[in-house]
Amino acid sequence: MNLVLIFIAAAITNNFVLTYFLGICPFLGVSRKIESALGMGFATTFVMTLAAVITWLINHFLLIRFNLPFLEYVSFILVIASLVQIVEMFIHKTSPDLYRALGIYLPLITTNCAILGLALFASLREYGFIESVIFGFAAGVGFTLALVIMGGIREELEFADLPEPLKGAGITLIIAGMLALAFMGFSGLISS
Amino acid sequence: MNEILISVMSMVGLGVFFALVLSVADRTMSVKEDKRIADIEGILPGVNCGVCGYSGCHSFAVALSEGDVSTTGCLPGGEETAAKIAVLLGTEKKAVVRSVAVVHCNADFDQRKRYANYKGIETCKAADKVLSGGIACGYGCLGYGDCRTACPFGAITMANGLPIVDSTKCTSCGKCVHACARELFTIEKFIESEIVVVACRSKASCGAVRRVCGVGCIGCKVCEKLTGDVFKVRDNLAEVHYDKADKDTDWNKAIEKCPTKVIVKVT
Repeated sequence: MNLVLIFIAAAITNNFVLTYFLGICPFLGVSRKIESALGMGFATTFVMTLAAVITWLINHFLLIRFNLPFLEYVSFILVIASLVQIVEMFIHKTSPDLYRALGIYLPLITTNCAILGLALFASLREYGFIESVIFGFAAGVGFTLALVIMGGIREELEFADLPEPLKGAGITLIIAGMLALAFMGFSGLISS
Repeated sequence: MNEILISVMSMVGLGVFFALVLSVADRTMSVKEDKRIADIEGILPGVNCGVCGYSGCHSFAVALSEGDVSTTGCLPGGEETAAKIAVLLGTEKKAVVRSVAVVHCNADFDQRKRYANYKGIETCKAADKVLSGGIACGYGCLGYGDCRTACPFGAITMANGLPIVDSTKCTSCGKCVHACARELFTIEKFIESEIVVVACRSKASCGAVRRVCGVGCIGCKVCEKLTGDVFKVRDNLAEVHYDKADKDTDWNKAIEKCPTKVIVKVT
C-alpha cells in the first residue's frame, strides 16, 4: 500500500513539474508536439529511474556508511551527468530520429533539476531501495504526463486565434499555470 | 583528517568509475557519422537561412552527404560553394543561376506623399501598424530600413529612404522578404547579367496612385502592348512573366515608354 501511495503521490498529487515546479525548462521547450514530448518523457523517466537506483546505492553504501552527507549534491550531480551521457549515446545509436527530435534538450536532462530533486527527496525522506525505485519511476511518469498534456494542448493551440502579444511563450506560460492549478486539485487525494 | 581523506577518496573513486563506464559506452555505442558532413558544413556559409529547403546548414549538409539534393541548393553560397561541395563529393559541377533580391517600390523619401507626421518607434513594422506611418500609399516602402537590419550580408543600404540592394553582396537568402512589413521584396533570377522589374506593388487605381506617388504603376498597359505576353497588367499593376520572355523581348522599349518610369533594370 505504501508503494502505491508513493507512486500516486510522485506521479500526480506531488507532480514534479506541476506541483514542485521542477524541470520547467524541458516542460516548456519540448512540449510543442506530443510525439517529441513522449520521447523526452521516456528518456527522462529512464534517467530518473536509473538515477534513483544508483543514487540510492551511493547514498546507502558510501555516504551514510562513511558519514559523508555533505557529498550528496556533488556525487548525485556526477551520477546524473554520467547517466545522461550514456542515455544520449544509447539514443543516438538506437533511434537517430528521436535523437534529432530531442536535440539540445537531451544533454539538458543533465541539468534538469527534477532529477537532482528526485535524488535529494529520496534521501531526505529516507526511502528504502524499492521505495526509491518506485519513487523515481513515478516521478518520471508524472513528468511524462505533464509534458504530454502540455503537448496536446499546444498542438491544438496552433490553430487558436490568439491576440498577438499572447502568441508563443505568453499563452504557454498561462496554460502551464492553469495546469498547475488543476493539479493542485489532486492534493486532497492523499492525506498525509 | 580522516574524514577529508575518505571524502576525497570516495569522490575520486566515483569519478574514475563513471569515467570508465563512459569510455566503455563510448567504444561500444559510438555512431559513425559521415565525416564529410562536418567538411560540407565548413564550406556552407552557416547563416541557416533555409533557402535550400532544409531547416539549417547542418540538415542540408546531411542531405548532401546522402546525395539526395543538388549541390547548387545553397543560394547564399553561390557558385563558389557549389563548386567546392561538388569537388568534395566528387560529383559533377553545375552552374548556379544567380538571383537577387529586388525591391518593388521606386518612391524615395521626396516622392512619398504624407498625410501625417509619424514620430513613433522607427521600424517599418511599427510604422505600418500606426496609420501606415503617415505615408499615403498603402503599398509602398515605409523607409525605416527593417530590410537593412535583417540583411546578414550588409547588401542593403538605404538611399533617401529607399533600400538599394547591392547585387554583388546579395546572396538571395530571403531574409529581407520576410522582414519587409509590406512584402516589397522578391527573389528573382538573373537573365544573363541583369533583370527588369516593375518597381511598384500598388494595386490602387490610376487616379489613386497618381494622388499619392509620382512613380507608381498606373496600369496603363503600354508595356503590355509593347512586349506581348511578357508584361501583364492585373489589378492595376504590371507583372513580369519571365518564363515568357526570350532574347527578342524588347526590354529597353518598355522601360523607355513607361510613363511613370516604374519599370527599372537591376544589374
